[in-house]
Amino acid sequence: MYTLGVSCFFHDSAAALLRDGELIAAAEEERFSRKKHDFEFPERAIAFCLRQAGITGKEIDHAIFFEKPFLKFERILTTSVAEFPAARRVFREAMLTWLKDKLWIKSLLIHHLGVSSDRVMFSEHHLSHAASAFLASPFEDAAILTVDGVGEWATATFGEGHGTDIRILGEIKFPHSLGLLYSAFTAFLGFEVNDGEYKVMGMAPFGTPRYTDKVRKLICVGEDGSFRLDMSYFSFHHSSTDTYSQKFVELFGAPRPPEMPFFTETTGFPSYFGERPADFAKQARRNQHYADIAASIQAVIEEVLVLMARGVQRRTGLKNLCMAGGVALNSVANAKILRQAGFDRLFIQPAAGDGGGALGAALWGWHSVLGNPRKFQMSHAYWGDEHSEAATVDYLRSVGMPFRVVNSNDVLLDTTVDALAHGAVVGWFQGRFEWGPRALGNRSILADPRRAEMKEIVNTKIKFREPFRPFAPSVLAERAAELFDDRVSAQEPTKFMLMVAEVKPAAAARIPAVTHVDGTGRLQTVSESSNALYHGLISRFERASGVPVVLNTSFNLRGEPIVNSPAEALSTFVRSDMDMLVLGNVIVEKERHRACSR
Amino acid sequence: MEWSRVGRLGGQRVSTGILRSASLAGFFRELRRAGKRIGEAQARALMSAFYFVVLGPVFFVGIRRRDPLDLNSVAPPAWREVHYRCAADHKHQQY
Repeated sequence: MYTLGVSCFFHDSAAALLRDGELIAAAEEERFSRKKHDFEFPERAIAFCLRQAGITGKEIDHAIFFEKPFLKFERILTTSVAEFPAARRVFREAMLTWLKDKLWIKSLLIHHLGVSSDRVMFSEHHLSHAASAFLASPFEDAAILTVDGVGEWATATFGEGHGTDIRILGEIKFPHSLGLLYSAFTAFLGFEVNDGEYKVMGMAPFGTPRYTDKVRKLICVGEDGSFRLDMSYFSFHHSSTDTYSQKFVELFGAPRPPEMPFFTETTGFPSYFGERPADFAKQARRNQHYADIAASIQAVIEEVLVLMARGVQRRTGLKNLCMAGGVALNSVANAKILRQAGFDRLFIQPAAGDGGGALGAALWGWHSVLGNPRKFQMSHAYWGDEHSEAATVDYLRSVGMPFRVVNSNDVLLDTTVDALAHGAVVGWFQGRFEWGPRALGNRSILADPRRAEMKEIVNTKIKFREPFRPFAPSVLAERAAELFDDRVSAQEPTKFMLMVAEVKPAAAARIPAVTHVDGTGRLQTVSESSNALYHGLISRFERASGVPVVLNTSFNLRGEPIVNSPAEALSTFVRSDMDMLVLGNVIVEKERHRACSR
Repeated sequence: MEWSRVGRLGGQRVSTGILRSASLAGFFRELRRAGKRIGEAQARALMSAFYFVVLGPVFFVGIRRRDPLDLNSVAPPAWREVHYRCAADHKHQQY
């Protein structure tokens, strides 16, 4: 029996397919359409899922949409009326898209898949998030916390999961939203909403949280983590373009221009910015102000999330916590929840954002509606598309790119490790791509974490991204406790790079390229059972270098989705300063690297 | 002008007789684009009129005092209780 989950029409549309309750394929549309955070109907992702299963749309037994569209429509209408006349533009633009597409999702699914209407079901937004976390977790009983921008009406929910049963017990309603609060600061700090939130998180350690009192004026928080925003500081509830109001600007000063280069006295002035400006000190002070604001909102968000989680723990009395929703991608806050909220174990859905709703909807349908027992656990995230060696070779031949094929994994791993140990930056493309926003060793750019300069090289010559952003360490699971805070590194979410752990002082000096300015790292623990090839690579790298860690960042350039196909990988390789590209067993090297390694 | 359908007959390249004008196709493409823009402008005007004429009175009569977005509350914040709905009961509902 096939169950298809679909999410779309906000951001990160996706599809996930279960066969008899086991996940067989899941992917976000952006990987195929090449539009970052693509929100359109995920026809390519659905086509991939069907291809993976070897079926047609008509063979789908149940198609489940991840939210209730009419409830969301009601929220938009109510908000438009309640915010009369300020919300006139929001209403006008929303109606155009809703009347054109969003209200007809059922017809769209029926038409696209060829299924009958009685096989189409609708979950609820936060219920889908809850299901994506709890029903994919290893827990039989767990508390559940979901926090994001907004679903239908809810912006945060908590509940309990027991077996196949999920009960949502409480919710916070729009416009009072922790996700949208963070997004308002994301926009204020010059980043794109729904995309740049993790940049705020990366910027925060460069600042001091000296404005937390000001941030607390924006949000009233109860002892149980419930909260209400002071909406006079915001405009997202009546504007489709602005997220914060003039009052917000009066409180925090002028917003940071998006094009303004970020540097402080701590970071210094990186050479790739060009000539050091005459007013360096003045600009650095200005940037420090923004870093302090980033640190302040991050500190308050962590505080509220810990209060929420602690409240949920007290209310449910359970020792396991499952989390999902976009805010659950805040890996710094996740580590604090683990340490301070009273839970023993945490599970976070790797696709915690709206894309993950597709999987949640499918799992909800299979278990909660159809009553089937649980047998699936998400122990890895490799559910995307893959490409054969023959297809890769054909493609490289067609574009006239020199390459070599190695016939054994030993040679492949030794060649790659040798390149890494000699300072090369390697594009590592293997098997099926990852589910969720993190690259976990199948679509990754790898480098040597011992070289401090790698941080600058990869940020500026390879990824063309902001210099303050950190890189993740991929570490052998069995060795993680030697290098990182062992309480965090033993947790399930570290498999999916969803928690930040302190790097032990002795280790920080050995792996400077993956140690952030605050002495932490957003680690990924790699076990042999979840990714044998990647585990083998890191093991060999340890033998060559003495550290069981490689620097891992997603295989994409700034502003682009992570690569899916060999063609996209090659295009990224050619446009960046990477030295070597490994596509399965096929190796492509840049001329200068070939010359050096000879 | 270009031949849009060309066939082969005894090795000879022959036209099937249907002509398409590149400039004519471009003209229709532009016409469609302009039509879409005009349609969207009309829809926007209609929605704005609907907003002020229909939803405006709803706001003044019904919504204004109810504060459905909880913007003016002075009570301490609290989780809103969610009543359990059996999954099978609302599986087909879009609301």
